[in-house]
Amino acid sequence: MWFKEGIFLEFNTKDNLYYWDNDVGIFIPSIQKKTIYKKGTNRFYEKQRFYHVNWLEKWDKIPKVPHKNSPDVTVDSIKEFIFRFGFTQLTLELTQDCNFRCPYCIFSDNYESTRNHSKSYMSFSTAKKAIDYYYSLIKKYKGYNPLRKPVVGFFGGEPLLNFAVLKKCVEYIKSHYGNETLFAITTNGSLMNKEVGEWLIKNDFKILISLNGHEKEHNRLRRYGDGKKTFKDVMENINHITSADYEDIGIVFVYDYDTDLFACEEFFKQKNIPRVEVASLVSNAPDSHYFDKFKEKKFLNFIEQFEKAKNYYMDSIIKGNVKSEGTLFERLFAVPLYNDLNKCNTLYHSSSLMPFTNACIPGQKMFVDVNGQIHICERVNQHFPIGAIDDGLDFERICALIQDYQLNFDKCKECQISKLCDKCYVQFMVEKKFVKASKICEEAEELLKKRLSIDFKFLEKDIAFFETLNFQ
Amino acid sequence: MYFRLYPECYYIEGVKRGALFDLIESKSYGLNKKESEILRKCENNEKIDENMEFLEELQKLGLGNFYNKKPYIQKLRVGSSLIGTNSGLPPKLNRVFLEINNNCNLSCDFCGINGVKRTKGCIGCNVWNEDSEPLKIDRWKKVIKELIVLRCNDVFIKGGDITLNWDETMKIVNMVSGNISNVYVIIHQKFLKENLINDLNNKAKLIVQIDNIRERIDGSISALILRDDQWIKEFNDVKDLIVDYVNVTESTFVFLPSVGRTDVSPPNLFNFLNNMTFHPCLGHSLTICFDGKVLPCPMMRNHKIGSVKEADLADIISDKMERIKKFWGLNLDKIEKCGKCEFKYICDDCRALEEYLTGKLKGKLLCHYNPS
Repeated sequence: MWFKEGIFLEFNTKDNLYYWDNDVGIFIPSIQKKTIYKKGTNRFYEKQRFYHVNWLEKWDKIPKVPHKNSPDVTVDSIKEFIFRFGFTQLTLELTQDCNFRCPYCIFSDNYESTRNHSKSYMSFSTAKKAIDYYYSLIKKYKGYNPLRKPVVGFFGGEPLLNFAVLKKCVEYIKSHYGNETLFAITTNGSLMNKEVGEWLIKNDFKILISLNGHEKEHNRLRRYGDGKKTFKDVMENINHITSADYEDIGIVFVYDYDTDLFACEEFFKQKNIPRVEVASLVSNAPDSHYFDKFKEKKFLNFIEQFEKAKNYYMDSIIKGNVKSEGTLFERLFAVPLYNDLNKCNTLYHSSSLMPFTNACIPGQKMFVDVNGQIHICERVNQHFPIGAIDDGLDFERICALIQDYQLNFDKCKECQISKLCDKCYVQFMVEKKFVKASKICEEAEELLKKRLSIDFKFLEKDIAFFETLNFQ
Repeated sequence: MYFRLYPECYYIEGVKRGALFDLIESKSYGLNKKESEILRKCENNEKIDENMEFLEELQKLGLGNFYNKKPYIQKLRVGSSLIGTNSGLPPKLNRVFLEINNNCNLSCDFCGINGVKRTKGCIGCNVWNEDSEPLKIDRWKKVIKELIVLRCNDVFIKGGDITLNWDETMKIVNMVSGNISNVYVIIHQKFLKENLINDLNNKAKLIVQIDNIRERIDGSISALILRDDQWIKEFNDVKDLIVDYVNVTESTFVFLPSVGRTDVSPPNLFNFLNNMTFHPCLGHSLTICFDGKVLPCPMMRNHKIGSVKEADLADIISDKMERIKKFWGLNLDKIEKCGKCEFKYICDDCRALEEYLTGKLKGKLLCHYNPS
């Protein structure tokens, strides 16, 4: 290590040595400690090293943004934060019912901590209360953030099973709160017939559809409750949207160790398929049994395939064969690297309200379930409610939740990549408790190191592609 | 072999040559055409095999290093580059001018009522040929409450002559004091009295508008003086001097500072990176006039954004953000001539004065450096 103090993650490509400077929040160059000494290169290396060590002393002098407000986790400090940065989205769970029975769904039997499917539906009266509460907060705290725009999302189960209430909600919002709301829906697409699709387009919905790739792969993972295949129905409905040249539609793609990534990439390259906006491995939360069925060999084969796919994609970029087209590989390989390079709040200290992980402050978003309970977001299990629409956000409870969550930051202070952390409550929760970071993040640094070593190999060859991408 | 600048060193290219900025050591290096050409290639990760002397010099200065193989060098930034201006986050309001009255019994030639003649008119006093109804104290209270909630960083309280109704001025000072990080009060030298200074003690920093050096002021006060080299020499015991250059004739601009290559300030990391996106002065700044008009700058009277008489400040910000952004985001890349210049991110610029002199919002007159 060249450095005297600070927290750094060292990694290298074949050609160069780098550090992630976790204090500043940026990647910095170093020089290889060992070089192959050809004749006459010794002197070059010594000079290069000498000046690099000098530079590191200069780098130590880098100023940081003074920490102006470093509040303790109290009800007042949380309120102040939420009034300023919160209320970014209201998501309504229109129903806990679904016409699909996907084995990887977090509401299936494979996940112990989350609710199961039920026949519960949200009434319009509950939805209206949630909507009125959300808009009252936006109005009341406009002074804290005049630029906040309301976003209302609809989630399920399958939200289109409760289309009548969805429609009423949108009509109610438009008639009572004007036309500046952004609407979003996450759907399995099976009920999004021509009429529904046209209505979503008319109301400028951001449409997210779960589609797991080509027919065989999609049908493997996504089936109706009676076991029938879903691909053809979903594709037909997607075509209603794309044939209208509507662009605000994206795909949520989920894969497991049986997925053929190359075949899926070919599928998503087709012109009539919307952009892949989310691509993630089936949830492997601590309470999950989904992956129990996969043997180690299967896992290793998948890792091999994943690396092969990445090399193929990155090589294509270097050869200039790739444009930003929203394909699966772009989402799987380019976006994480883009985020590593751009996401960190460089030179700023983390807020003392959430010094580690990428967790939000509960209340930034609000997920209202069918019964009117408010939760952190749609991904968090039902054991951590943060209020109810009749009583509003419970800031005492939010405060206790944050304090409880932070008790598990046992590894974070020493973590070399804490400023790159993308974990949140979801990864740490098992039923009503949080698991210690040391357990969840055991291999995080090593895994990232490995990934960065590969990613930087490509960055060294082609910079322009990553600098021109825009995944915001 | 490859040579790359370190993350904190920025190579900025002008239309003809480039300059290099070390944002940790706050140093700028103007480069000649040949040096610029070499550095452009290096920063494009092109292989180098000649002109090593120049690059070795940069290596010795701690600005960059040689690499056997192509490296990837990330440039230093402040904050996250994923947070765009349309992120829905609260606006960053660094500086607000509260022009609390429009009355004064003096008739100074440099006053705004006679046109924009000064480089720092914003932090001096001015009256305007405007006779609208002034805001009542209760409305000011509401505006100030809004500024506190918005976490405004600096507030400048100015007039006119704000000593004419000192009780009201102090009410405003008391409202902002302790709630806003930096509070400045601007008073003309002729109205300065000891009891006023005592009233402001620990509540606000005083900026005194001076046009007569012979009357001394207290050494702990910031003084905004009109340009006269002799005066500056005599004023060497005043803590902070802010020099306000004034144009004394309509036909020539010889008394206004025309920026040249040697006049630019050393680069400050935060300002430099801010200036790549925002105007160095207008960025994150607003003015609330005596009659409630909201302007981008106290001297840009023709660019009304809204009025706090008609709406809350939050509503104006929310409804007129696109218009506000046009001023905040007027970085020097967008200003004629400046866009071609390699020193654009360390240069000052008074848009009010330039607009007055050229008749164009993006015009530029006060610069004698020729980047072409």
